[in-house]
Amino acid sequence: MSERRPSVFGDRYQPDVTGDRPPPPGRQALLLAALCVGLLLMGVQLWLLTIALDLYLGGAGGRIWLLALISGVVFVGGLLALWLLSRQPRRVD
Amino acid sequence: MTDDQRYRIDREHPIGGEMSEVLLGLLRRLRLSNLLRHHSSVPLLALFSFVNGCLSIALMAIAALVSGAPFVFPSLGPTAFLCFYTPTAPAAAPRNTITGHLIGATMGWLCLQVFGLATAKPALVEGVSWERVLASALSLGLTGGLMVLLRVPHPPAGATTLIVSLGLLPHLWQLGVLMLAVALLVLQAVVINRLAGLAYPLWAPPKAAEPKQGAALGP
Repeated sequence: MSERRPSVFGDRYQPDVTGDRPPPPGRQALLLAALCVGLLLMGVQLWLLTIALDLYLGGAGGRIWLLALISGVVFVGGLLALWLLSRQPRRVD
Repeated sequence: MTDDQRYRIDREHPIGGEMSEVLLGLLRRLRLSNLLRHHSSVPLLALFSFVNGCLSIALMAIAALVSGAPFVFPSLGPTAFLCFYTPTAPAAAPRNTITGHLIGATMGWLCLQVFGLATAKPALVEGVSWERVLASALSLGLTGGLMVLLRVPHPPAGATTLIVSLGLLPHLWQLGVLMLAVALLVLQAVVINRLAGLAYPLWAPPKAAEPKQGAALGP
């Protein structure tokens, strides 16, 4: 008997590798899209933090707050996307 | 760069190696003038190492997540560190990295076949048997010997051979994925180190000029 792999997305999103139950239609594509968006957001945050550190070292402390605000918005956006993804698809009978 | 310069610890290279030069090149390329002035500070090097390490392994781990194949395995970590700590050292060259891991994986797999461990559970699960002792010892011995014989030393390959001979990656297809992951990491090292302006080789490490006869012997 094969075991199901643990997933960073939680057990609900794990594709069924045993072949007993097919994944919900479109779930795989949705996860890939979410992964791409997540990587993009992470890249944006990394860049924002790099710029913030550069400004901080240059003594321009005031402008960091704007970057911190943008970074916070990106972070909250990422969390929101994760929350949306974690919702169970509505069952259609 | 000579070995003396590469491993020297001074103000410009507070942790030895060439990481501060990689960071200097990248910061120059990105035109981050304030960070550029601090390129050799230890906290900044630690931050660079943290981000670079996270990104290197995250990409492989995501590939593993999406494909369900073993794109991430323990010996990839030391290879990633080596490629950005001493990129122009012979051990970090693409030839040494790829050939070293290939030797390690092949010797590990061969030892599994020879000692009848191909279908056995990993040593971490079922414990160490005499066959496993012989397989792991022989695989590491063969890997070290062959790397020296072929002049392609790459220390992390020693971990690769043990990963295979201890049964963590026993299937041939997994070794193909392992080599693909190594190739992807080398590609990343080529891109980042060349972007930083370092003479990271595309395959073999450059040969140093031959010293004049008797010069190294001294009086």
